Amino acid sequence: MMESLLQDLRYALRGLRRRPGFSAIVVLTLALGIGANTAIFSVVHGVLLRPLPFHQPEGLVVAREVYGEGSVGTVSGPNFLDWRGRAKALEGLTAYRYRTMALVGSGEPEEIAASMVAANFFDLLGVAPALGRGFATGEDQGQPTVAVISDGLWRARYDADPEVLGEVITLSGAPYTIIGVAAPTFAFPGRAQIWVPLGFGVAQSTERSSHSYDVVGRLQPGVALEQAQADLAGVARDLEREYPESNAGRGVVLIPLASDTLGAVRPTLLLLSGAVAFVLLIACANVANLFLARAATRQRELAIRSALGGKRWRLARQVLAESVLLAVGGGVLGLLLASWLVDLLLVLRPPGIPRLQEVSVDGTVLLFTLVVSVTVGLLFGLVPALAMAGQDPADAFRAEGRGSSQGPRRALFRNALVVAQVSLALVLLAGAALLVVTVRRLGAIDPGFDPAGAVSFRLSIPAAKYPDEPRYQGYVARLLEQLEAIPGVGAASAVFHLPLGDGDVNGDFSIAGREPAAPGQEALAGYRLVGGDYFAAMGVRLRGGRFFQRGDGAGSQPVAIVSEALARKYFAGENPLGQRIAFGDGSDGARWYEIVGMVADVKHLGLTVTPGPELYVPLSQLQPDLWSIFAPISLSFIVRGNGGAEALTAAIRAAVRAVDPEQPIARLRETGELIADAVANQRFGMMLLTLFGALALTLATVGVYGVMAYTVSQRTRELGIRLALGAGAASVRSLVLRQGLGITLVGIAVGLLGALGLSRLLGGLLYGVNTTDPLVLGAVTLLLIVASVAACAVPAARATRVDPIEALRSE
Amino acid sequence: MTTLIRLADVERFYQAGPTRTYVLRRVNLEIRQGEFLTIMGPSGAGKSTLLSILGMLDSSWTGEYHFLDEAVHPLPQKKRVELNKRYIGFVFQKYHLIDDLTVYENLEIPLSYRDVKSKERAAIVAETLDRFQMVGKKDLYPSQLSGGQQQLVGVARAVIASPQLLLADEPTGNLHSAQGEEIMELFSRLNGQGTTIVQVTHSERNASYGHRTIQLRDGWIVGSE
Repeated sequence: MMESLLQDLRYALRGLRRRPGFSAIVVLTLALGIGANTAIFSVVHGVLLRPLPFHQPEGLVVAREVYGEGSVGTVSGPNFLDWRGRAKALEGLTAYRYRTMALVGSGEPEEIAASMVAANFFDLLGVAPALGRGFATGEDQGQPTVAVISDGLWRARYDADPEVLGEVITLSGAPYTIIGVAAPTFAFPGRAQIWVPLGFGVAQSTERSSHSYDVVGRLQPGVALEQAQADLAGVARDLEREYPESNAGRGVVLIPLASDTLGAVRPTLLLLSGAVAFVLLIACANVANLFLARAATRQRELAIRSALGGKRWRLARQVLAESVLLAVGGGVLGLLLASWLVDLLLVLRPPGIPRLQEVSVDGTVLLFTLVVSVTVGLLFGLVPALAMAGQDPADAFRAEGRGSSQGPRRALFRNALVVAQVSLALVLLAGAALLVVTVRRLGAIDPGFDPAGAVSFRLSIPAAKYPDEPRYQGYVARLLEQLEAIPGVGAASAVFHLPLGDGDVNGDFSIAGREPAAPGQEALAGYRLVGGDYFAAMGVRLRGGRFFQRGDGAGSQPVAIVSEALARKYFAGENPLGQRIAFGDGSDGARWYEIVGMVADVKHLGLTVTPGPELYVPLSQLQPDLWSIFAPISLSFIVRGNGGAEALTAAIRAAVRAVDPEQPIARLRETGELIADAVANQRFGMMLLTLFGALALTLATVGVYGVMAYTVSQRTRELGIRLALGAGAASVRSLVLRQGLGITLVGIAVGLLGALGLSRLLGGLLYGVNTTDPLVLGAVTLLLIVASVAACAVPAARATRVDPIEALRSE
Repeated sequence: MTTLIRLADVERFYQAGPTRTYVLRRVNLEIRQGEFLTIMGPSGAGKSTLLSILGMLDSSWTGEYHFLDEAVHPLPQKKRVELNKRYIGFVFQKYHLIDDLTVYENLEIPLSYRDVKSKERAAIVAETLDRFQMVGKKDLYPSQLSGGQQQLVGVARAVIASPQLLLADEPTGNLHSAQGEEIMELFSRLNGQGTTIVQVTHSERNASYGHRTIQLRDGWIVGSE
């Protein structure tokens, strides 16, 4: 058995070597399909399928407060402590806050992603640090002094030195002792590089109306999510009764940690999985057609083998050996392609996809590739193998004698395969084209500011070093002065949140001379706290009045600038200039600001989000009691200059160092990248779909070519007769073109129907275009027709060169 | 002589819609062991079809077929393949060698399908190559041989598993006369050694090598001499 199997494989290899063209096309086609699938499967496996790197991750849940009309948000410290103390269905709860910190010591100052966590954080997740220890009970009380660093930070900054334990580092101006190094696979929350204890102080345990903690819990063994939800909801109802002022209308919701972490990314990955599955299907259709053509030429060989005593299964095995070898060859090459594609995907850093660091071509992916390859091989080997092996040798010899090996059923099947290819390619190309239009339309949106020539960066200004507002403001003023002094700089500015997704602080405000608003009817606006010459630096257009001036400082009349949207909404029919407003309800002690200017709306929350009312005030004139809201937020700076981005970024680094050599700089880049980031999701989808669409188009074109070339070879006799009867070259050419185009048009019709279903997959990603856009579908249809005509051109030309005498003699 | 094959009322037809086209009609035939039988007739008479049925390459016929007193007609295809493997060798007009395999490997195939052990196979192939004087050509592919050489390999392949019955469908049809004669001499020698031979031919000269000739016309046996 083994011997004959090896013989089959040996002969199959020989046969493939003797048909290098056929073998290469099949292997390459499968490699493209399998490679694309393996690459996307690597991502899907690493991100969606692989269990989260925690002990029994299925028992972990995220707990959030629910308020208003189903809004879900972070949790207040006291609520967390009460939930933890009272919930019976949960084994435990832990809390954390995400923030950036400035790391100083052992190299350049660096802004790092930090997580302030409750002491039981590592224990609850069931993940022990790889080196050292986690936090001990009580270490989260008072000023934190210890830290656990990530494996990545340990390797990058400390050369994986095991002696790092006990080393003291400076984080945002305060000393911390490194007590542990996390396991290499551990990165939670997000891409945290360091974990420090939360430091629950008096403020956190009494401030029930400040909601800033993320909470994760672990279900008691055997307790279902619904039971835990009911249990915690009961606790929340108790708290509503006990603390009506802060907790009225505040419930709780439990979400499995896996859904919470991965839910948002699932549609994108499913879209890509669908796209690559299409590519694989198209590749398979191509291979099936090639195998059918090969099967036709092998009929004689199998008839001989059968006549020599070969059993049906043995003959089938011989054919199978060849197809499986080809498929495995395609799989191996596909694996190489996949590892290259995975690298490319990681370089592209698709936005919003977590756990990318866990994506790799590993054992499971290898198994996936093997299964796909062997399945494809069996699928395309078995059917023709059994069909051929079951045929009477005598019939096969007779068929050969007649010179025809393509029955009408088989021809129909081959054409159906090409129809499927063309239709799948059309759906993919339509998806890619819709995203191309989306990205173009998004790029054409006026964001309300001019990013050209501006550079922005972000600083996490350490509270330990600048603990109060005067010292903080002093630092910012000195830095703005340095930035403005850079040669060629026209304007420099600071703001707490840059536009387009960098965050937002908003709240209510009052207008002088108007009745206090009823609860729930307050005027609302985004609070924009700006330093320096913000509007000039960002290129925001003035619509009336004036910009802030140098004289608008701490000791002068408080001034504000409003956006057009604010003016429209709250000063309809009035001139907002000269009016006075205050943050909050304008009660005693409120600072009243005079509106001195009105500016164009800025797309602060996203390119496709209609700008809401915005209220700008100078950083130096902030109402003192609001300082605590802004102090922990990283401050962004914008510098507009004419010296070129490269020179400007170097000068900015020098300026920041000159003011504080220990201050790390983060996200120093051209302001235009804000817009690029805002369309990154669509651009990522567009790039991949375009890549897969191009692949699909190529494969479908090869498919049309293959079928037409085969058809012409099968119709040589008929074409010879036609030519002998006086048919001209043009008529023969049009005969072939008509047939090829006919198949393509059927494929296009089916594909157009399929493209209508794209809205379900792409709906969330599209902007300014819908899935029935006639221009997009028309362009894609035209592209496929052109490709199809090109694919038919060579077989058509070959048909015109048929020598009637030769064709008839060969019969 | 013992009867090797007995056909009774064998018919073969093709169904095209409501129409039946008969290729063989009520064929009754007896072939004795050691006989050299020739089947002749014009094109379309059903000669090759009859040969395919004798060789069990065609299973869509009606009537009775006994091979060495074993009834073939009720046997499933699998059993017929077994009989074919054990007793029958086939020589084709178009040689039908497998293009991807060398002469050696082409000869090896029938043995491999009969589960002959590798060492034994090598010995039989070596002996056959020697017997047919093709040792020097064992590593060549069919495309590297002349028509006569290819048919020689075809015959060698047909007899390598020592069949009792050798079926030859116009074995010299594609050969020039000298090559054809060489093949016919070979058949004659094999028949002399006890192999039953049934050949289909248009050539009176080839027919003269046989003991008996039957004439087919439009599917009917119209004469035997």
